[in-house]
Amino acid sequence: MTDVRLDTDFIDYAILITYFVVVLGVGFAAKRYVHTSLDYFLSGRSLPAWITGLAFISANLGAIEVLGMAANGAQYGVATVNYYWIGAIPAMVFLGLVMMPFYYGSKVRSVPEYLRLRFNNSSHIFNSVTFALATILIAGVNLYALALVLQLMLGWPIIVGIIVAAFIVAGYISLGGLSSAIYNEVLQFFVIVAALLPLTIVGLVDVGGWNGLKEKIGGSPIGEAGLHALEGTNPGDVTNPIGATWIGIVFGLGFVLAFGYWTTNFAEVQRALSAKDFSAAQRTPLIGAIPKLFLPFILILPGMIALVVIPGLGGEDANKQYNNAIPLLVDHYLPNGMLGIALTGLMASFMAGVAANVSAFNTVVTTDIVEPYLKRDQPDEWYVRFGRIATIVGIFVSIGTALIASTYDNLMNYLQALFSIFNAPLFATFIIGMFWKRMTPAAGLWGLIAGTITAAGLFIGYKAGWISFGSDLDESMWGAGAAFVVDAIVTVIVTLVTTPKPVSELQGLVYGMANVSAPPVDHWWQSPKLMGFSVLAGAAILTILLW
Amino acid sequence: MSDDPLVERTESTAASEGAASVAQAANLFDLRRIIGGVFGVWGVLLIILGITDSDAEIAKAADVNINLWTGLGMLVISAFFLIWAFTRPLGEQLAESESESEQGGGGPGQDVPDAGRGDEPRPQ
Repeated sequence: MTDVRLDTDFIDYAILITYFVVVLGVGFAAKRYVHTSLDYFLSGRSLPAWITGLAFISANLGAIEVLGMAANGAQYGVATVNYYWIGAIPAMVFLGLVMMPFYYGSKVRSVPEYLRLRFNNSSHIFNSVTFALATILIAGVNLYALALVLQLMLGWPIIVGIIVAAFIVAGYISLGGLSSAIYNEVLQFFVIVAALLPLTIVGLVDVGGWNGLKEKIGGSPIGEAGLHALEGTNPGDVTNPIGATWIGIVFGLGFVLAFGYWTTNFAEVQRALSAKDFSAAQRTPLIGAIPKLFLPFILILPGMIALVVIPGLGGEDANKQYNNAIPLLVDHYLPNGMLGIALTGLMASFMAGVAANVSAFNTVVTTDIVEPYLKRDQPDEWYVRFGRIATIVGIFVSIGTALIASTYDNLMNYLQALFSIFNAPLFATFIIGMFWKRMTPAAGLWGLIAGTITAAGLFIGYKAGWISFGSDLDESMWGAGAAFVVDAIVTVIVTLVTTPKPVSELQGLVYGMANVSAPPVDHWWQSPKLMGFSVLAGAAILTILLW
Repeated sequence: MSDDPLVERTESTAASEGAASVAQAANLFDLRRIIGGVFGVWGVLLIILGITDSDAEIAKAADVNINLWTGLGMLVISAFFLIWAFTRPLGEQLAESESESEQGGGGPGQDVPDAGRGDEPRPQ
């Protein structure tokens, strides 16, 4: 086993401790100085779009993104950029320009709640339960990643790391309310950039710049094919290490998986829902899309650099699995000081990832399951107390799901598989429900059930070895695509034989009946359409450059 | 469906708060000052480390004095946020946007109240 134990000294710990003092300080100060309504006021209403936009992107910038994208960079090479320019940007623009009017205009508090208004209680319950399950599985991934890094960098055993991290996060969530959650996300964004940008620069200097890297990748396990985003993805002749066809990439990843994730994942959409007005809500995902354009350069490049400078990466040695690409590079290059910044960035990212999912879990369990169906009309304190219990239970369950995550050697692929099961069918139901007034409540429920079972069945079949795919990623793309198609077919069939809701009950929920019209913006450059199309153009240009 | 009781009960407002205390608290929690402060301290620390780093440590990072350069970069970010925060204090901006929305700043057909967007304080 390679020793990756970081050579940390007191300065690195001082940097890490500064961060936690600031984070906890914000939490304590919020408790002491701010009343409930003002607390709310500052966390939601007073926040400008740049903060909600960065929080939007940070909520996604957890362990999976940081470790997983570098892992993919090492495993698949340049093709990993498809997760960004095809697999995220168009979906984010779509959320801002097309879907936000329905979310914002219908005044829902959560994504499942939209289903309750548009369809019926049973589809709401089904989605709330599957969402709660999904968030707890994802929280487990983050918890495992955190423990992984603690083991690798500080030498703690995995199980100790998982339990200690769980306790730290439990404390962290109970201290920081909504304001510190969003504040942490924005602060975390800058710390991660401050950690990864210098790491990438040092790595690039070491391998001789982009040209040097290209040359060295050519002689690595992924070879020349690993230097292209889309070349070598023709059906029947896939030579690109990503192991998928462009059809799978564009429709499975770019359309179903990405749109499913970015437009229906509550943890993301909620950032936009909490913006101060409709214009800011629309701009939230669009502003988030700007850093998303450039994140590949500090997430994927380190993975590719690790592939050429860390001998044996992805081989037999457990410490050299792809997930460890960034920790290995940190150990390889960074002196004390920068080491502390990198450690802080990784810890901040992973803790926020666990915290975001666990708090999304307790919100949905409390306000979407218990409050409307199990215990109506309790005093507000009762729900707050229940939410606390749900948090603790959620964290304990996460410890269990962290152990499931530990069986996957590429966390990003595990996560994409989860998204294909939970988000892809949801997206089909949303998109049809928003644009087709006739779609019936029964179709909402049965479409979701059929889609979820399809993706889950393919996943189980693949894992059990009954069905084979080009790669883990290929499985999630096809799983997502199949879930979407099955959901759509079942939705249409069920709609044709059941009774729709009266149109009068759909005000604000469907296309053509949105409650908000585009408000005037203060400056021409704040126009959501202009921002959206500029970001799309940027994504297209970057993809073509790396074709 | 706006008569839904579960939706309506999330509405809350901070209008009753005194403007001065709002401005004060807003400045205290201005994220730009927090980022500026943290990056300023870390930037200075890294610059000192960069100046005093041994040749061996610089050689480790491909002969780039990464502590020094990152420290300088962080100071620039810090200065950017602090200058922005002090030239446009959040307290003032809040007061401005309040008076704007009182004059009916919302777009036509916008019957959605500003407050209560999907966020009752989350149960923790």
